[in-house]
Amino acid sequence: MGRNILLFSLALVISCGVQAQDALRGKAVYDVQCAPCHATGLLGSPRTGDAAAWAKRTAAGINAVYANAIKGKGSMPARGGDARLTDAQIIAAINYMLKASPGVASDKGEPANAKGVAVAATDSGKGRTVYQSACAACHATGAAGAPKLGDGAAWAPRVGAGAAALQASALKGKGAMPPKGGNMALPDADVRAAVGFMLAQVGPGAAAPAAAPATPAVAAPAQTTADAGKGRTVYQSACAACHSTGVAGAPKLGDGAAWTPRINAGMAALQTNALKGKGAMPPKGGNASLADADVRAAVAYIVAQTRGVAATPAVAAAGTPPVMTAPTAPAPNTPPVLAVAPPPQVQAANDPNAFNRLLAPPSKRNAAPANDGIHDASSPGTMLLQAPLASFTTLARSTTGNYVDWVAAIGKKQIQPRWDARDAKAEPTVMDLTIVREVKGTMPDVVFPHKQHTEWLDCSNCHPAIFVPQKGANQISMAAIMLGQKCGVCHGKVAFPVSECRLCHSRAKPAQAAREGKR
Amino acid sequence: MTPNIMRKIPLVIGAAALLATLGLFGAAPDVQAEYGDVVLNNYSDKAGMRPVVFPHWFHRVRYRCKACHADLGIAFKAGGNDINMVKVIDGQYCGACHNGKVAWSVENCDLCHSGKPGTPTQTHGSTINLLAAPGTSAPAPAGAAVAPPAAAKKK
Repeated sequence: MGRNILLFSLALVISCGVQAQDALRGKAVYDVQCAPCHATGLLGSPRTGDAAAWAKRTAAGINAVYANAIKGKGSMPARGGDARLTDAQIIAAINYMLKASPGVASDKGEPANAKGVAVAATDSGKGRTVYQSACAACHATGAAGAPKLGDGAAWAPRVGAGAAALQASALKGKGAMPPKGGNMALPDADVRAAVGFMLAQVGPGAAAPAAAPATPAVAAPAQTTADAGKGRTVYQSACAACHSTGVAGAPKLGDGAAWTPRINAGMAALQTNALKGKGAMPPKGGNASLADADVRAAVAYIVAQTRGVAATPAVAAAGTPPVMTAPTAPAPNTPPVLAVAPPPQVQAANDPNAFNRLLAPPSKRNAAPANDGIHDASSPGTMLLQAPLASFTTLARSTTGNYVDWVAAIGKKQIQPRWDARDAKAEPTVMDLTIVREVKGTMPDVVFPHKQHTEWLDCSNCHPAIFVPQKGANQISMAAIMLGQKCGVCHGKVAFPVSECRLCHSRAKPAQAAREGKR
Repeated sequence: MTPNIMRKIPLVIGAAALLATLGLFGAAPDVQAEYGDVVLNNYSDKAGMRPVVFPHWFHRVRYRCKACHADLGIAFKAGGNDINMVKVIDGQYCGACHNGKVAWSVENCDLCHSGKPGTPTQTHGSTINLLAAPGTSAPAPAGAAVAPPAAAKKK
């Protein structure tokens, strides 16, 4: 008996260790990707902490929950809308949510069997998904000499070299093609799946049905025309979940009565609603990584379906919303507006939201060197450099800067940067002294922790050149910081930027605290 | 270098000069550089090399600030350190580690000198770029990158 207890407690300790690590990662993923819906229960999603809602989902087995999250189901987009997340990250996030919903996790929240689920989720649509997220930028338009999807003539000589050679080129890069299409975070298997998908779109009778059974309606010939069927593809991946069934009051595809009043409000309004969300409709159908142009193309496709225009390629490019004259008049004979998709740079320039320099969409964060706009893609060295995402995947995330929480990363020992270049064992002398600076305005007072700073820096880095080590001797203003002085020597360049006001201004003034306490 | 390319050099240099001039007034191309990437172009462009791109994030994963900014005396300012190849080879600045022992050595020119020609010295994503001097983060227009700096060097 005593021995059993010993064994049991040993097993408990081990599993707790694993779970603790898992939980940290799960929370990081959850905060960024899942919380927008699951924290509030938006779109009928099971709310974190709502044991009853989760119990319904886990009734079919925890693996089914994992698979649905990875592949998407109903309003839930695949991988929560961020195709870059790995299976393991998704699973960790689900485990985190289950753990936060007491009563569910214990019975069926057993092991995050990442491998088993990965197999279940490696469904045929994988290649397509990867293609759309990592390859389409060039291979949909033929940018930089890339063979276009479905262009038999361009692909034939490449296919002749054999699938293995093609996969090797895709993995390691060739000519203007960066390794893994520039997204070093992609697993090799995903890249191979994307190659398989592209090949399936070329060869007559090739593995097309196997590669893309989810959307058998997209015929290969449609792909051969420039960007033909783009709207349809986007619709099927991002919109169909609601708009094909009418879930959550969504107007159904082809339902004239439901769509006509919306179309009458004008294409611009429809596109705006699709991009920014309205009512139960989440922005971009819940898939924030979609390009604005893709969403517009999908809107154009839906409208075309409703008005009886055949599904022949209606391509909407960014900045050139399809011209729909007299929206109420039926125009079956009007040819769809054709536009050649401009290269990505031009799209960005014409994007009405391009002015927002501070808010990078997920697709533009942590760009690989070849795509970041300052590295010379023609330099032989550029392709050899590590892409930020390849390094950041395991680190605590934040919402600005590098999108890495560097203080948390070092605190959790996710990274162990050397204190001394030559002595690997040298440790920093951490000083735990907190300084509170009372500020004149209405903002909360600033709390300066020496602890987090001395983890990274030597005293001489800041004292006495930047800050005089004496109370009241330093005049600091936000203007000076934004010009790169005082705190701005690092914050706003390499440490978290000044947009994170509350990370420094973190202690409510006594009067404020009293006021807020009364409410 | 093949004779065919040799004949094209004057043309390439001319095109590069024209594009560089336009770059001063042209629209900023889309720059999505990693936060904290430092471009160093004190001497590179003039010497016919691509400017240096210093990935700050890559180094901070491996070393704390103190290792470079205190021990090596590297100032907290893009372009504020008078770094040249003689000093690097002598073991100062980058050369303290990039010596073939701790990190790869100076013969891997293209790994550091990998920036688009014409990109000014700066820290990317910095507040001062975004607010005080918008537009200065842009490298020369994309077309200028087509003219390899190697061509100018071998004049």
